[in-house]
Amino acid sequence: MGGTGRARRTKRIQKFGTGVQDSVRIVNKKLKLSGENALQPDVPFGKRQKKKKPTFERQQENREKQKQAKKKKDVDQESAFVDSSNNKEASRDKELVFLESLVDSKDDTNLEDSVEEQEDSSSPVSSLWENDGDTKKDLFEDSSVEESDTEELDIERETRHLDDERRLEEEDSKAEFVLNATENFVAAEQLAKLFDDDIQRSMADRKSRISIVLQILSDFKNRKDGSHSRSEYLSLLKSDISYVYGYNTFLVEEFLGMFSPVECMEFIEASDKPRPLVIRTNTLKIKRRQLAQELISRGVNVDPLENWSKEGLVVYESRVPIGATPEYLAGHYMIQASSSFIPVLALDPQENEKILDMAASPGGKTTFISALMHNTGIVYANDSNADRIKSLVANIHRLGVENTIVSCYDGRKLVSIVRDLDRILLDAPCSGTGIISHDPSVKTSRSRPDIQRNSLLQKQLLLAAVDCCNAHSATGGVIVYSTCSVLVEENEAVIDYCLKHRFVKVVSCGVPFGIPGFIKYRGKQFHPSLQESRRFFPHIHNMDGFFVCKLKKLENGVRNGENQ
Amino acid sequence: MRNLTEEELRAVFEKLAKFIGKDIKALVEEPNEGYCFRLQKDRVYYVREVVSAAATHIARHNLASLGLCVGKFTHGGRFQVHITFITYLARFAKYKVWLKSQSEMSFLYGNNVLKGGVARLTENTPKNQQVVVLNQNEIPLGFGVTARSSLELQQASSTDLIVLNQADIGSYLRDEDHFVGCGL
Repeated sequence: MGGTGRARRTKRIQKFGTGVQDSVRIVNKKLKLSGENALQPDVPFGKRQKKKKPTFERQQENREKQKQAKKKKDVDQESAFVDSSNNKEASRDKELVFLESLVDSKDDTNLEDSVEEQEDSSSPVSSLWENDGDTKKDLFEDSSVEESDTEELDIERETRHLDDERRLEEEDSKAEFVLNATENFVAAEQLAKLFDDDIQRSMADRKSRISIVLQILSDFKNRKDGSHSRSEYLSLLKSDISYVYGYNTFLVEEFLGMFSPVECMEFIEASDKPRPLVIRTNTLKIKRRQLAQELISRGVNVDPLENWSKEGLVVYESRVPIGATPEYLAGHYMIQASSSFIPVLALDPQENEKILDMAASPGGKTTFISALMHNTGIVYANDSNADRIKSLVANIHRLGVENTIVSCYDGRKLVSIVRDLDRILLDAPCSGTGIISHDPSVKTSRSRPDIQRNSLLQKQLLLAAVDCCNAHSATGGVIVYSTCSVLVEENEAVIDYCLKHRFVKVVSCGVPFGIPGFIKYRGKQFHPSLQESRRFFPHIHNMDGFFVCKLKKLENGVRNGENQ
Repeated sequence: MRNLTEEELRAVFEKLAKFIGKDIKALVEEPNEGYCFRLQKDRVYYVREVVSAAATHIARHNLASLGLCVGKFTHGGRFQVHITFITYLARFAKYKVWLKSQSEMSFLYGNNVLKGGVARLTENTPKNQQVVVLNQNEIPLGFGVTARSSLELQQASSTDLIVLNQADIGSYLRDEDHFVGCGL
């Protein structure tokens, strides 16, 4: 649970790394030092003596590697295309090899020469990658030998080894990806066929075409063929993506407008993958540590969520249905995506306040608010849909929350009913483009009119929310707006509209991660303070696509005229 | 939403007293001083007075729930305790039954408790007594009525019914509709 000193230290090591080698490598890279000039790992003299001595076998290994590399180079001379990212990888590998040669034996200068040659062609690099794992492992072993002199426990070393291996695997897979990309990139003939409409294309064909087009678009200046414009390539990409991943063209256009083509692809691929199952401890009834113990004894494998959350637990695997254990029924936890923690953390509810949750069902955020308030004060939980109210009420009672008033109103009419509230959470109804992994029907069912209708409703709801809030509240005067959509029209545009019509300002969410909201989008200019809003994406944060913005109400009343 | 009449309040207290006994006062005394009972449609809610005052803004038709639901009045005028009040019942209950871990899931599916599933029963529990059912970790699972007294328990065979299930927390999954009054 991260409580013991040892565990904390392992965590710190995971976070900041341990390798002296790493830092040296970075310094060398920055100062562009190489060969003899390059810095060596700064190890105390006594320890350096203990370091693994270069053995004969290792030198032989290196020589064999060079031979392999040279052979490959001869064979694959024709494909002389070098990707820019490829180059980067190559240079990184080069440094790794350098370091090893430095660590192993300084006089082995042949190796450096061969590395110099390798930069010219891409294929030898591939042969290096095959050995990559080994060379890097050697490196890390070295560093671990160095550090083992300092007082260190076996478990720590093991965990660090595991960590290193994981990192190695990641790097390998990245390298493989780039390699595949180069292989896909074949010849001018295939390029010529890109725009041929007569060919019946299979799914695999289209996928390979996507990767080719992505490559061209990522470095369009150097790789364009002259006869086709960027927009033509883009339209090609759009049609392929919508065919392969089953999106309608409108959504693909929106995504391409928000991201670069490569990032868009990452987003779309990440949207298809399931997110980790997260549960929130109900702190009204139990502590997270106890809950974890209870669940582990039931055969559920759980781990604490990241540092920013004190309540979250990630469920890795479970022998029992996690939504039907006696602990769940007794209200010890709530199944809740990690993204829906964030608006509540941004709201930062205080004890004895009056808080309104405008679209509360099924109650994950409402009960979280109550838990943070320790069941004091008043929480109005509203939802316009009578059917969804049932699950809201059931969850509130299951979790033992006693300070709620559940009402069923249209959120836009709440202004005349509840007023002078300290804080308001508006988790607005939206198109759900951030939670495609939960509901794939979003891919085809959303069109432009839908989004516009949503946007209008969201603007009305947000204005109502601001009106319900009391600007002169001693502790609050805060409104948090969140959606599970990634579209600008449902997020930044709504906030911008509100900034023009009410006396509010955007303030920092107080969440340590996330990406700043858009200020400019397709020629639209939003208020510069929208930088303080936060976006979360599946491909970056491994959570649902999400938008959170915290507003502070400055003054009651309506702002007339624009751009004051 | 309104206060309970004298008659209604008596019906509620008589029912709760079957679980809690004389400790029923604890529900309206320290440390629960600020709490009161409120009737909304057919349901009785146990709620802090501050919260109930704030709920007066909400129209009767739109108010789905407030505070904690104790139970409801049936058409015949009897009062029925709901599973939502289990935390308070378990806190003050006089008689309790602890289940073995293998039979707790069966109880959560709405089944009665057989002798084989009982780990422990409060001493001197009479027959036909309202009891709260807990599991080995002291998590309240529901409540019911004993079919045997604790003395008769020793003579009973392992398949004999000991506690009849009246309500259990499995109903949070089985019937959510149960938690919201009619009209919504």
